[in-house]
Amino acid sequence: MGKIFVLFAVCCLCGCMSLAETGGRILDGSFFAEKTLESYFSEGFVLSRYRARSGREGMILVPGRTPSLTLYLEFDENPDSPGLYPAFCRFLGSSLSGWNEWTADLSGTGSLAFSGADCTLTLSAFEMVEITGGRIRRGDARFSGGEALESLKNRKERIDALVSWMKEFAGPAVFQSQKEFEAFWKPVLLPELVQKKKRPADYSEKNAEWTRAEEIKWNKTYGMKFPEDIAALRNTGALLRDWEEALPWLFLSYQWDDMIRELGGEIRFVKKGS
Amino acid sequence: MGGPVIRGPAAFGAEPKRGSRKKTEGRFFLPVPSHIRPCYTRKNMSKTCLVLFLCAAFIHAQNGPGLREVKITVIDADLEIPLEGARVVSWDGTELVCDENGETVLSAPAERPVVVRIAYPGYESARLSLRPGIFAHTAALKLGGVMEEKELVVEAPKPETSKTVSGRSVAIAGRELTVSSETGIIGDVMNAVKLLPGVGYVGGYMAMPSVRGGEPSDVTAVFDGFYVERPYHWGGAFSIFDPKMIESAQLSHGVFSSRYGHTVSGLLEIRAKKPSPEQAGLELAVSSSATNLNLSFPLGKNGGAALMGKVTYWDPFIAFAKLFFEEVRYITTAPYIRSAAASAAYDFSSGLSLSVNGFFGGDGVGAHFDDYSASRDFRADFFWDNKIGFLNSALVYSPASNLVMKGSLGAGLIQSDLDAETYSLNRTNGSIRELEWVLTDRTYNIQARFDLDWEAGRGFLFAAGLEERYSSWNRNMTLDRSGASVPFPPIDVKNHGISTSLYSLVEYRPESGKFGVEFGLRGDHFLLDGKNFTLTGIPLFHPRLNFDFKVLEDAGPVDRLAFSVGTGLFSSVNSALQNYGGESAWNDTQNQSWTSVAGTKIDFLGLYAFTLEAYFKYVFNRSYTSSEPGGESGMAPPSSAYYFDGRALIWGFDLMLQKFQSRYWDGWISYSYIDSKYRDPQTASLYRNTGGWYYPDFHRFHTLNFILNYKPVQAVNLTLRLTLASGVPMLETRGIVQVPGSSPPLYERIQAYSDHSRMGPVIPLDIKLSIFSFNKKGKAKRELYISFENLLSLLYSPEGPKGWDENTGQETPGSSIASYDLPIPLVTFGIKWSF
Repeated sequence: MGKIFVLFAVCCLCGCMSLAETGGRILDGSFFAEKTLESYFSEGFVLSRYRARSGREGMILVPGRTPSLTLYLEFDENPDSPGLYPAFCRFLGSSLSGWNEWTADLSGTGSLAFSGADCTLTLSAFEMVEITGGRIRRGDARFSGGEALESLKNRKERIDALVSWMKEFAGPAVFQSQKEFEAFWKPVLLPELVQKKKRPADYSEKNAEWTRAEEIKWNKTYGMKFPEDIAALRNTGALLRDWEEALPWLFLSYQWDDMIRELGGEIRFVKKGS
Repeated sequence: MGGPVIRGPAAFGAEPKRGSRKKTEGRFFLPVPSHIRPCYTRKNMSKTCLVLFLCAAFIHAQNGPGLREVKITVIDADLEIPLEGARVVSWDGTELVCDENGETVLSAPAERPVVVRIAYPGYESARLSLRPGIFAHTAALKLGGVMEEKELVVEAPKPETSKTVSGRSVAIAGRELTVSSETGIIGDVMNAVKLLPGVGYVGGYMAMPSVRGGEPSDVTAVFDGFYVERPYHWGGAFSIFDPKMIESAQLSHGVFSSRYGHTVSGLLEIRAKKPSPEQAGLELAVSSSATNLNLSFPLGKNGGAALMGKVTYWDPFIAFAKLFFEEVRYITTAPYIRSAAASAAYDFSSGLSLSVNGFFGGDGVGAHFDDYSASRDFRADFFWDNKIGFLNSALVYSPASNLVMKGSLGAGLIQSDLDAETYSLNRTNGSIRELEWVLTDRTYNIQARFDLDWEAGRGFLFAAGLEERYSSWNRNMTLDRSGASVPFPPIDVKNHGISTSLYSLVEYRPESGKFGVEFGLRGDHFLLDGKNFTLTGIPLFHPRLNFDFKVLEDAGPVDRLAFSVGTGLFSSVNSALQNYGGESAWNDTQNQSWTSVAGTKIDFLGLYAFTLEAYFKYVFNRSYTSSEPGGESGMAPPSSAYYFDGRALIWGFDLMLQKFQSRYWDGWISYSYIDSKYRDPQTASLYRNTGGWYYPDFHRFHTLNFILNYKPVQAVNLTLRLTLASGVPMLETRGIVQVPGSSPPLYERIQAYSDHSRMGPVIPLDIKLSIFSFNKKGKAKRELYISFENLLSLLYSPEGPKGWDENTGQETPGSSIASYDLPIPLVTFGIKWSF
């Protein structure tokens, strides 16, 4: 009886989360923005053909490791051409603090060849151009328009700088999930917030200098292992806020180059249900 | 021209060399692919139009989409002015320079996207992708910081800032408002307002506090500029202002602006949430006592709308409680509140916007009680139904950047019905007692208002406005008591009131911001018209003056230290006058007060604010009623007499130490000391010291509030609200004597007013625990919470007036409870989802 009650409660809680999500999407119009026509799968990616509200059709590519990112591929306007190109991508990363949502232009070329129930996607010269729009929710506050765009661009700049250092520091570490990524990097970047036994070996509080930001005492001496700009982010609490509010984004940025590499060759997809 | 045309800086002229840039008279030529070059070179320009047309048609046919022209416009993001000379590096490496309109035109492949870069000295450069189908793009560049070296943008933490203005008002908004007002069975903005400095403790189930010693009914509520009459459910237990429809609440209890009036003690200014024109929002809250649904969504590109609905459902709980508690078995209709609100805002242009707010709510309760025994038959029925609604619209027009005009129009209604009957038959002696209490109240009002703000430059701001308010009170109340010694005075009025107000004010604040001064003048007039009378008020003109001085800014740990002083006259119309039925008169119908305030506010360490204010108020021409015996025998219904010579002397101080929203804990401590003595010279009421100076029944000397939000981890929030308030006045018992000639003997209590006779202090403690989670694949967020109200009631109950037995003349051991709180802790739990 107890188990049934717990199961019922869990169903209610989860169900209503989906209900709120769907309701919100209906309200903001994203629920009707595109309709998935058919889906194809490969190892690491899901490719779907969609029809936008405008009637235009295109393809959506979702990397399995970073499902917070959706890549939109559009067909060449020339009907005789099998070509398609990466048009833009959309990112949505949630946290307890709220969420970051942005859209960025993509550039590159590609082609998509169908063969029965399969298809082969080829992309080249693929790159992200710039964030062109977005929205932020932080607590109860919501930002959009220019204000959100500026904050998102600033955050991207910080994340890019941090990721650049992280790759130098750890080499091409491969993380299968965001959880693994968090478990590895949180003690390195924010040792003050983890248990003592998890802190890195070079972290010491002996004779350390401290600074306070976001109500946390930051070990400035430990922070000297970082480049000056990253240390500044740590000491002001900006790094902590990026970590808490945009961990999926940080994980995505870390994985970005690998994802581009994976997308560089031919990828064969199998149609769902075939 | 038929084919691809290069306009703007890529002017027609000499044939450009492919892959290179040539400057001629300040103009640049684009490299053009050879297959389209013949169409616009000067040689071919000399051909006939027919040839040109054919050529163009040929190109279109040959290349299909081929190349497209894209007009790039580069502007300053903030000033929206064109950036002449901005450089556009095209997809093929060609550099173009924008003309005086910030425009240039480039050609790009029509079937695929290309990337171009834009740069302008002093501005952040931009990259953009020109996808197929795009033929024009405006790039807005933002001013860069230090451009010599690439710097990371470091954003410091952004704590909440207080909108509290020392000497005038205390404001609460955002998460502080949400957290402190959503504790308890009903989310109510007044839950938070009651915890602010200057507000006397009033109890958990009463939303009408005394503000700085003023009468609770004198507090005026303004919702987005609309005066809301009696904005309460359940006769004042809760306000109609749901936290989910509110952006901020500002309690003005100092010398506030002349823009508002109709109060001598406190103005509660509620600002509705403005629906976003860009984002949709959804919030669903289901608790053990109520469900709320809030939606907001864009209306076109320039507007937004929001809807809110609230339903309480205590029926299952009452039904369940009836199984165990005798006391609740008489409830036939569980107490309920149903309310809905809608708001919409639309910007027609940057200088013209329209907003509309509407609210409609109802509340009520029903009860039936039977008791048939050998000694008596007893039957009681009670039904209460109340409806309140208003609709307000505002049009804001700003013809220039320094001039804003706002016109608003609204209407409100209240409809209350109360029907109570009791029948009691004493089987021993056959005596019958009956009571019938019927009240019908139909109140409506129409309001119009015009405001103008003109920023005259050099730090001067001029504002003026006019407001008109018409109210109609159609009220009927009878209380028939068979066998009662004195009948109750009936109410039967159909009164109309018109109040007219105008104001003007000048504000001066030099650029240095070191001091500011505001001088305002407000005129108020009130006219009351009834069946057989007209009460014409004397117009009142009230000046108000405020100074504030900034003493320190960014000095060590002190972010800002400011002092303020202010003095002014205020007026209000006592709500008791709505039932006036006396003689025609020309009179001071309005309560008046002279209020002076001195205060200081210190913001420090970027996270804290401390305010301290002391005030003195002299209230004069205060209206009050006194019950007069009916006829010489005293058996005729008594009448209410109205007097206008009441006075009050009020002084006190209050302080608040606040820590703004932060990572681990935040909250505030507020303390209020209030000394408010009233005098109603013509009254014979014992509670009002029979015409002498007295402390009114709502008065408390001390109120201390402690609000703490503790967040041990991001996903958990523990809110604690503790209040410690001294007791309210009660009559002092000076003896119990036998009623002369009574047989069997009956006793009566001799009571008198005393300044020192008080009920016990109250110590309510509320706790709320919230656990947050979120949807990793979407935007939905969930809060699971449980709250406990009046937790200390298990250990302590404030002592009220003692009961006594008129047959024995002995005091009974029990006493009533000295607050509007339930004597047991109340548990509420619920879930809230938001998108």
